[in-house]
Amino acid sequence: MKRQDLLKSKEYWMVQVQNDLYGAIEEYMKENRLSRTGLATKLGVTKGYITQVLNGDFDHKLSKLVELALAVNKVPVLHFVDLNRYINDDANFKYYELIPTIRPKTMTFKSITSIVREEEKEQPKFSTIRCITTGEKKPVKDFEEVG
Amino acid sequence: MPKFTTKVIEEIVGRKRYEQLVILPDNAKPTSIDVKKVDGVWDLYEKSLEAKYKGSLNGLAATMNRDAEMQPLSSEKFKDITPKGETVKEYEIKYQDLRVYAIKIDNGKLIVLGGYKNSQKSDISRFRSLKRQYLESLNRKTD
Repeated sequence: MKRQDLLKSKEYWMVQVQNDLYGAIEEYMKENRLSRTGLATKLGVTKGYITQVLNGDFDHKLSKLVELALAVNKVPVLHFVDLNRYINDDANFKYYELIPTIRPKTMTFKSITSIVREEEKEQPKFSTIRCITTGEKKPVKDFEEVG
Repeated sequence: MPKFTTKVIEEIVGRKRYEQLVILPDNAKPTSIDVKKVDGVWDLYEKSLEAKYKGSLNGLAATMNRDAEMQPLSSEKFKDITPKGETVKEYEIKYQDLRVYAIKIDNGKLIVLGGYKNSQKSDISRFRSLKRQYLESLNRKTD
């Protein structure tokens, strides 16, 4: 299997969306100390439906995806990126986010930079960070430290 | 006892490494083998699959890639199956009818076996046997 064939596959992108949605709902449940039953009651859906979503098997209508995201206080930001550009960026270690879910609320450029430097210790080739406005990873040197 | 080496799964890219077990022929000398030219368990699994499973294999690889990228991942799709008291962690990664079994290694995972939903029990048994033999081979090297 070649990586670019993987990136061109429907299943690759389904897994991204399904698990980003899982991450958003799981985070909301933790923050609000909700069980699956509690969340189902709050959203007016069945527990089985919540289980299906949390199992990473969401494959419902687009309107349901938007409803679920809004119900857990998230907006499903979607970018359409040229496929060849994406594959080229991927080969150069630039990344995009679909639904930005896991990010400390108080994160500054300084704190992002320090996190990236921790990553560099493990694997130097990943000296990139996600740009908050575009979702694109950029080399650390493109950002100035704050404070 | 079989001999083993490992090689990187190149299509999986992230902060954590994904490697695959390579089971060498009995008469092979691991130091004289170009590991890039030898199929590992992931390569052999991919080659053994019928065409109808191609999409599911992409789903498996995508799930592994999310783990490598340390992104949120449903525990239903990526399950810790380590028995109580076992020191080296075991994982089952699944997508539709396909399963792969992995162990934790330094900064990543090592794929030990590929299998199917309908042969889960025997696959896990084979996986644990391979895991034990692989770990024993590492201990022999350090003796």
